[in-house]
Amino acid sequence: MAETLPRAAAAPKAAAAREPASGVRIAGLTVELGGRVVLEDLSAEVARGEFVTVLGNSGCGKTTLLRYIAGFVPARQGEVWIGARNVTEVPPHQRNIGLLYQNYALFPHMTVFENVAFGLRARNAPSAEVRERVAAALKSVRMEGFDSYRPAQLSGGMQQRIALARALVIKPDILLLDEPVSALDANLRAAVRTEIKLLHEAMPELAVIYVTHDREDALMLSDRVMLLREGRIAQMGTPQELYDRPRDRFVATYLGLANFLSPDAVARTLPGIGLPPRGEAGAFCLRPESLRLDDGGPGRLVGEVLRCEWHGSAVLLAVRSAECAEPVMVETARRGRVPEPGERVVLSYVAEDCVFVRD
Amino acid sequence: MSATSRTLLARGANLSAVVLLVFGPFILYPLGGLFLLSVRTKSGMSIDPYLRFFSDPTSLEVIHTTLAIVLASAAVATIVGVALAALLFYLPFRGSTMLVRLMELFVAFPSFLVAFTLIFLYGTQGSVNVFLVHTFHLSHAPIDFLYGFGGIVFAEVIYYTPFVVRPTLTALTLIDERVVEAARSLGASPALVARRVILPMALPGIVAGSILCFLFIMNEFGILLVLGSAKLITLPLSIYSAATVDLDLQAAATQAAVMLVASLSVFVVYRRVTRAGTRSHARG
Amino acid sequence: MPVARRRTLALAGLRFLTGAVCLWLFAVPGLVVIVSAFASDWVATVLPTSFTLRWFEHFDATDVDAMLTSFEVAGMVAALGTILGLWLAISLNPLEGRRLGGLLDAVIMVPNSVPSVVLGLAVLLAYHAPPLDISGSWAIVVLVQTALVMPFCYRMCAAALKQEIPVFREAAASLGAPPAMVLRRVILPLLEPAIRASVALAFAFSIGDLGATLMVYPPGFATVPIVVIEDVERGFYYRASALALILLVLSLASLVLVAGRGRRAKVAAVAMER
Repeated sequence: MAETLPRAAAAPKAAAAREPASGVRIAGLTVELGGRVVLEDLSAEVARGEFVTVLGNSGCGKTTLLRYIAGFVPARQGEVWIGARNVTEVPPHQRNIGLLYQNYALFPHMTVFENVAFGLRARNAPSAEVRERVAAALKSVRMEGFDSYRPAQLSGGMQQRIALARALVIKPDILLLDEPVSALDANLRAAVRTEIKLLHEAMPELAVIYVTHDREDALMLSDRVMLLREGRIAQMGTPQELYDRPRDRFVATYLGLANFLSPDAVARTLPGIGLPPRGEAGAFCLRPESLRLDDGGPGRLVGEVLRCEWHGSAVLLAVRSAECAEPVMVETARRGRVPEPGERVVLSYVAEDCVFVRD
Repeated sequence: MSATSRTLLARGANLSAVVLLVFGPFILYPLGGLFLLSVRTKSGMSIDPYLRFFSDPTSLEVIHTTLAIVLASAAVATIVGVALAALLFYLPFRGSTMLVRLMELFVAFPSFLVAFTLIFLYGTQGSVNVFLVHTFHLSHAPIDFLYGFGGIVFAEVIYYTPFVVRPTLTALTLIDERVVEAARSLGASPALVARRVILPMALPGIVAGSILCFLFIMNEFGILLVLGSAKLITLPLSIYSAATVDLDLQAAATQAAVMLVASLSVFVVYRRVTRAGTRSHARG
Repeated sequence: MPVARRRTLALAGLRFLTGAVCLWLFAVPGLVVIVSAFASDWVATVLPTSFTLRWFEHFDATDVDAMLTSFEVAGMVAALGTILGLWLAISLNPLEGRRLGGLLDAVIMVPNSVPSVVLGLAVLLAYHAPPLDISGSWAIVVLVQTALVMPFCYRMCAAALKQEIPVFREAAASLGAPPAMVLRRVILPLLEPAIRASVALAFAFSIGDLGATLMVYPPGFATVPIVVIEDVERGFYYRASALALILLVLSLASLVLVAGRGRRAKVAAVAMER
């Protein structure tokens, strides 16, 4: 949350013009679909202007959460607030949200202009204003001049931008994005990510909730990440918090490669480290880049190189060590000598990089 | 009142209106009335009409005829339909899509017309017989099957084979070609692939088409009106003559009720089969 | 002969056989109707020896009345069936996946799962006595045929509502469109192809129905199929063919013109597979 404050403060004028501030607050949400509990007692808050990524595997409830906020999924329990307004019982069309679908959902029977104008017409905007705002919206996504095209005549990336223009032209309080880049190929994906980031920066008071299963999206775009697991929040915080201070094994592995050392192994290899609270089952998490290929200590692991994986900018070593059941993964720069499989190596680490995670 | 409960209320009111204005007058009231009439006798409600129907040798004969025609026609239509669908799908040629479209147009072709056109071709004065008599100098028409079991089955097969071809083609189209290629790469011969891979995957579609075909043939009326005879009376035909020739509405209603139960049973089986099919598809 | 060559020949033979059987079974009936409708005489010859327009010129008042009745009834049935089917589809859509929805869906399909004579008899019995006696008017013909085509009209719209439309409907709601606007601006325009197909199919089925209409039609309201059957029973084959040809042209025209290209496969899928 702290990360969002400077940005909100940077735009005091806009904030004053749009009182009350509109973030989203969800309280005690439980959703049941077809007899299965999809979301359980979930509470969270997204501040005005904040970009929150909802991350999780398929079936974890992330899309359901998005659709609940939009008003398309009934809840067994819980409330949702947009700004100071309790919208729990408000039908979708009165919530003033922008929603972007994975497959864009552009109306196939309407032109680009009519698609973008749709939300304004629903709000009975006068036609001069409709023309003006649609033109501005198309310009903001660099699609001016495509007014009279049909969606089917446009490429996927173009349709994506039109869908974005359509969702933003109504000046929504919040923008909900459902896996907006997963249908695109790798290069286009990066471009659209950047585009979304820039658009958000141009609208500093807009709260954005971005649903994805891709940790790259989450790490690159968000102010905060909400990692969902089986309908519950596994951890919510800044990308750095989730990466550096994961609460449990699931969070640690979801955000990237992780080595897990048992408390005993750590006690043996790094004397003097504070051991975890008694009775808590778990392990110490060490990221591959926190291990060094030298004997500088203070923590030391001895092992044998099993294989080297070439990752372009870095080399990943799998090292078998007596202290760890799984091979220990070590990231090392490609410059300098890279040990060969079969070689014995000493790995060192520091206590600050060890994070205790629950099982 | 909250918006959600208002929506639910409106939805409930609309649904009641649908049941009252559509289900009632078009389906439930007529068919319910049929059952009521079939059990209403002079001495009050009674199942006597049914007892009488099932103990009457004539009606047993009718049931027998109906079943014989249905089983024979549905079996032949299924075999011909599956064979044609497989050939059209795996050995396409120029014009084969045209042929499929031709079959689709059969939905706009009344069944009794098919039976009627057969008279021009295979009647004792029909083209085929005339041709054979002229060519082989015969004294009388060699083909005489039209106004009997064979003619009826022939007409039913012509009309209802497309109802098997369509779903079979759909099922074949839905089979992932990569699965077939995988089987081939594992060393399976075309015959083995057909038997162990394609057939099991297409079977739900084939079975569904075949059951629907069975139901429609059982319900068929027009073909029998044109080609049926006094000896070959099926249940729909018997209902028709009880109501319009004998003017015995009670007997007609009883038979109609029996027919209704039979048709709906097959329909339920069809729904079960197709539901199971879509469910397994969704899972896979 | 080399094996490959023999194989190619065998496959060509199979293809030819497939084509021939299809044409024999499915094209010949239509051709016979056309040829016999224009034949001046087709007895004791393989093919008619000469052709004529006589059968069309000699349509009498019964035939013309039947054509008008068929056309009017089919028009009304297509309109009414489609409106009701659309209403049913939209009303039942929210019940998708629930027990009640499945039950209602099954009940709608009932009229098409029972013999048309049974449906005709049931409608006749229900509406030839008070509280509502319409057995003497055209209304009973429209009613029974509407019941007959409604399942298809419903299916056509329901399929579109289920597969193609939900995401657009949600997108529209998220953009602030109230339900009425969603219906008018999004759902109905997107349903247009389904509605056209429904009208076409209902028209074709209505104009070709024999069993149900035969059970209920009041004097003076015979439709074309009934007159054709009467002609066949009396041995007036050519006149029957000429009338039948008109019937076929009308129903094919409705499929081709109203349903439009590319929609025919969908029509066939709904009619033949459900």
